[in-house]
Amino acid sequence: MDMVTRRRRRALGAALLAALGSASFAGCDPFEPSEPEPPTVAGSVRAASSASEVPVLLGRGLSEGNALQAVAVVDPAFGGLSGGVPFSRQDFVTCLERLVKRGLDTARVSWTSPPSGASDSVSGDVDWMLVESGGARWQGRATWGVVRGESAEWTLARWSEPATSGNWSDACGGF
Amino acid sequence: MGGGVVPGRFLTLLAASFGSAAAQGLPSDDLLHPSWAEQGASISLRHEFDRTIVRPGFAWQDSVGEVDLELLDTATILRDPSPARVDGDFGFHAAASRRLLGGQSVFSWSQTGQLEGQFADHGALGGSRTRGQTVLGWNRPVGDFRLGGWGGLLWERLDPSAATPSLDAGRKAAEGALATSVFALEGAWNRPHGSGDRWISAYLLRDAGAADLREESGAAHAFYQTTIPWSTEIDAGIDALRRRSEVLGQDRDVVRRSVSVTSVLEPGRGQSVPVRVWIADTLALDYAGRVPGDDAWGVGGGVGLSGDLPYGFFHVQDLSAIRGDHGVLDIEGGQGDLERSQSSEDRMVRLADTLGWRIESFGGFSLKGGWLRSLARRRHPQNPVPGVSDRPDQDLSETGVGASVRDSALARDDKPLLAWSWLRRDEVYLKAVHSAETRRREGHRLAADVAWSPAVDIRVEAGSVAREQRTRWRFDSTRDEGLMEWQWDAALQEGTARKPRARAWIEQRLTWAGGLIGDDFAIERRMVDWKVGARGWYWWKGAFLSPWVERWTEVSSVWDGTRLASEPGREEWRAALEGEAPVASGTVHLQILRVLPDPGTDDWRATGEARWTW
Repeated sequence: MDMVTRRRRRALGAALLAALGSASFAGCDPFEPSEPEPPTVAGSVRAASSASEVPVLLGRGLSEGNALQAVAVVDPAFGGLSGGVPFSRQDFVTCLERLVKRGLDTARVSWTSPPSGASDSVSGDVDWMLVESGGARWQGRATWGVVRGESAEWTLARWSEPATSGNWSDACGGF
Repeated sequence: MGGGVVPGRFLTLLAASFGSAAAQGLPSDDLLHPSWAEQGASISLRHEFDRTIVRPGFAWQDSVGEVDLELLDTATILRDPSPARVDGDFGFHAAASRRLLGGQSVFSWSQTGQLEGQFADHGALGGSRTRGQTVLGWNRPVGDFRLGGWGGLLWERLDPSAATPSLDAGRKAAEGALATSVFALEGAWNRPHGSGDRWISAYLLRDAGAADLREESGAAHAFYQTTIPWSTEIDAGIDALRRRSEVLGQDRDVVRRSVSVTSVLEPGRGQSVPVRVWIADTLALDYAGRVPGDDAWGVGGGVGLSGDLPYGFFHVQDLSAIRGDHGVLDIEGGQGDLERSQSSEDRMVRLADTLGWRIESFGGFSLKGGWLRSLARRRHPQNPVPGVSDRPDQDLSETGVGASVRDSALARDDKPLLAWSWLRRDEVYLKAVHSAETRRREGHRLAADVAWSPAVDIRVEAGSVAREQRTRWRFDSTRDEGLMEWQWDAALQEGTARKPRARAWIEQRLTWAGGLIGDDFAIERRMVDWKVGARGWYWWKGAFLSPWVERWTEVSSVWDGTRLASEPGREEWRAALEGEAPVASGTVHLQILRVLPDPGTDDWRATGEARWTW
């Protein structure tokens, strides 16, 4: 390799390093978030501080038509099974948003019995009932796993339900 | 984005995809032959929350004369007592292949099925369904090519429960048998090259066109690899699938295309510059309306720089960016108000730099520091005035700094000896209807972990984590929250790593949570968690019996205006007996666990597994 090529490569490497290292210090910071508009609606999203709050907050988000609240309790690493068929967090979030948009009169979600488990993750059965303003009604039971995250907030990480008709998947028109 | 054109039937069939799967095989190899990790038989059992799950499995292959036989059989049976019912599914795949006319012939029979609500108190809960495929195929090599084809019968048999939803809204689910013939042509070209591998493969599957059962797909894959002048791989393709199946609950059309180029440049002095760019798009339509349709495309790329520096230093830099548009479609492939409000444009950019130093002295010592910044944006341009129930326009920005020290001689598993990190996360909701939730969360975390052996067969482990976190809402400081946490744990183990004889452990976590007044914490809740446990192992000729017990307690105190008042505590006991024994060429493993939580909802749990391999 001749001296000119070597110098060119060194210059390229130095330029790349400089670009990577200084990108965020330049006048325009490409990693800064945008400026939000002043709010017109009061904040109402709450994080679950205990495992028992997770179904309560999910139900509240659905019944109040608050998509952010319903989605806030779904863990980033959520995974579910409906009748043995896996579904992703995105599938579940889309399902929750559909339910919220539909307008529910009642959304009750509660632990069948107090969940048991270690201090960072618990699992157990949850009974749920959804009633639409038009009168359509679904209810069932699912097995939940909820976990305590790094920020000490509890979130829904696993959902499992049998392949029965009228299950949650049916309520939102499928995952 | 927008209307979404339903791909024509023929276009749906003809597809090309470029992947990194095995080059020399035909695309249908996985479809016509069963695959498993190892030959053998196994059965596992799990009982918890009064539910019992049994999973038997069997994998076998042998040669009888000139015929190679393969068999894979698996099942899952779930018994639920409330309401009483049995559900299950099974999978069966058998293949027989032999040389024929200079090539290879194969007979393949695969079948899957589900049983729902069997033996239920209410007869209407019961239903069953099965889906099978029996085909005959043949393929042979021709120079660098391998060509083949196969054909046979695809069928489904349904006995749905009364309320099983149909693929067609408002109709009762189809009942009885459905069948269609299927045939496929496929080919692969592969030429290993001195400077890399190059291959192309393609297949086309058609059915007879029956309306109620459809299975048509196509794919063509190509892969190009070279090491001259730098290591480079090009990967591109299209995959297409048209499937209608009452058993699988699908009536979908999916077409995916993707191209990616990955190259690793080596400018010298031990430095490498990986560069990757990709572009992909997906069109998916769900005629049953069970999953929203998808019309999405994305492009992304990344560049890095890493390598060794003088005096034991090393560095890694990585910059990546992704741009994607995601359109949600309705059952017709169009967009109504709901679909438009959910369609989004996503952008992400991420930069991470790491600088480290390592020496082999002091048991392998290394020091590492780095930082990262990232921004993810999501916009919904077709919904400029969202409501509370709509998806929000959102920015998620993260900035982190961290440093760690590691010493191989004192390392506890893969944890560093000492690690510190600081992370700031801005969650910004742009539109006025959601912006009240805009918040910034930042916090420090300091962790130390160490393990050492003060005597032969004695191992001591200890660790501690302390962290503090502050969450501030942009437009409402009364919602500001703070969290402090300190956790420590220690364990003492007697015996070797492979054959421990006794282990005891203890763990405590203290959490303080509350509001923020300026920079100060106003503690509203304190929690103390304790976990104490012990376990023993009795070894006999490779088998062991191991009882263990663990007690967990949690005590909370809440600020009542004048003091932190204690609330009723929670307690849980777990006691278990676990054993494992080698039997012939397999193992038998069993655990029985008794859980005694404080509210009295005690539970017996049992797991067992027996496995033989040959």
